[in-house]
Amino acid sequence: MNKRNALVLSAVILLIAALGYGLRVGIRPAAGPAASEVAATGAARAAKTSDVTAAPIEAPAVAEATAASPSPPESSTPSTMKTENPQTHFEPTKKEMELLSLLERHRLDAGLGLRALDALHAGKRDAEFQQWLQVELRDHVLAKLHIANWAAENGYIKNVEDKKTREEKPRKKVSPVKSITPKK
Amino acid sequence: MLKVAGDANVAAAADEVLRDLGDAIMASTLGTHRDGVQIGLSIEGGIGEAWNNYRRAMYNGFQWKNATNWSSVLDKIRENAEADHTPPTVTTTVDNPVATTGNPPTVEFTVVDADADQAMVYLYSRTSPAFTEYLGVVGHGFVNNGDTYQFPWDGKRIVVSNGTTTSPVAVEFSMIPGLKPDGSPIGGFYRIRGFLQDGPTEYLAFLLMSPDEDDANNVMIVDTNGQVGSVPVRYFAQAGGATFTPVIRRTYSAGGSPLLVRQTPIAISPSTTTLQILEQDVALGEYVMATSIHDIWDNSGAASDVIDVQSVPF
Repeated sequence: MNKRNALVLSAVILLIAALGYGLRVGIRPAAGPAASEVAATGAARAAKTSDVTAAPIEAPAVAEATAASPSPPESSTPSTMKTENPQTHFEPTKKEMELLSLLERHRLDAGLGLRALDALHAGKRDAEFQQWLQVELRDHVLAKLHIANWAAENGYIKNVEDKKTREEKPRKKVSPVKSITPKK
Repeated sequence: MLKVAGDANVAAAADEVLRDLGDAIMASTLGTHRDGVQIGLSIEGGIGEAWNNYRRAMYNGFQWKNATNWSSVLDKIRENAEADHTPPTVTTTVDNPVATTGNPPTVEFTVVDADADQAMVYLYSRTSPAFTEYLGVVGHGFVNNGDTYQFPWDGKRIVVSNGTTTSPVAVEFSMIPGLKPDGSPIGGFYRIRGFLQDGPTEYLAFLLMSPDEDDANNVMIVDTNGQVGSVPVRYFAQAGGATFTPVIRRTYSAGGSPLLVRQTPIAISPSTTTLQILEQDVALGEYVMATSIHDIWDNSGAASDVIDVQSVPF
């Protein structure tokens, strides 16, 4: 692992710690993902709120990070490592960090921040991560409205609105309420 | 003016003005760290209906409001609001109460109320003798005392559609429009009440649209904890689909409490980005146009006219 990756990993560890702290100080409980989703992410640790409250989630991640912290020489970093162990190459983009920070800051869902971290950590990126996030945000929709809005504005939830399609079928604008006017 | 260095008299006068203004400061709410920073001035007033106890409680926290006695002005507004319980008297006439193609029913009324503010026309369906259904607001306008107004109903009702399925709805104001200096309305928001089925959860929900939009792009949700928020309709489509079922309030002729009756469920599928707001000719039968006038204190009076729709379109 090069120094940059080590720094990123350190940031992730701090983030995990922050998330873990947020969880322990008491966040509103929320249901975890469906079993199929957990299986799909391969992150069995991202389970129910009770599991999250007990805070077993960050422990494995921290342990893994600590074990990996001695940075190998850059030249020795195998190019296949990403495939073999995507976690060591987890390097969130600025936007992803912003999203994770948002998830933590609002503390809307005890498990969501960690699950998002897990998903990124497990290599879900771009379209795959968008799809994952859409499914996640669909649950408890009210509690996540501003996260959903942020995610939509920043391209994490694909805007499927096809303006061209709408323009192709123009309709007469409907004004549900008409004006009461002075008598002519 | 202080920057006019070449004119000592102007600079001195400007200094004096600033000194006097500084002496006029009675209270500051933002702390000393804002010294020297333009922070503006906040003075709130409004017509009586807007100045309710909730807003008063929020506003009363400002020290300067009490220091300047602005609060006494505001209290006076409220006193007047509480003193006026007299609703406007509303008398209407209707042209073409038997409505046919080419002869739309038109309600007329003259405003007799010194502090009248706005008028609305509501539509009810009595096409079934067993019940009356509320179809929402169809007319709105700002009015002046002594003037005569008219509202021709176009014989349409509003439906919501996903492009495949349509459902009757009742359109209401979520936010009443404001008034431009030239007298024309501005802003406002419509809402359509219903239930949103999202996975296993059903929310009380309102489709929202502005007068400037062709479609209902947003939905406001009230969750089981009473939290309210709005989110784009397309969000539900992207998330895997949901169903919006409009409701219409129905009052039964036999008596009893009014019920919110579910209409046709509208699927918000992945191909749905907005819900279309469309017009349809109403079914033939009896309708009621209720005209109400509101004064600035939100007292209102109303009158109603029965319309017999015998052919459409008008």
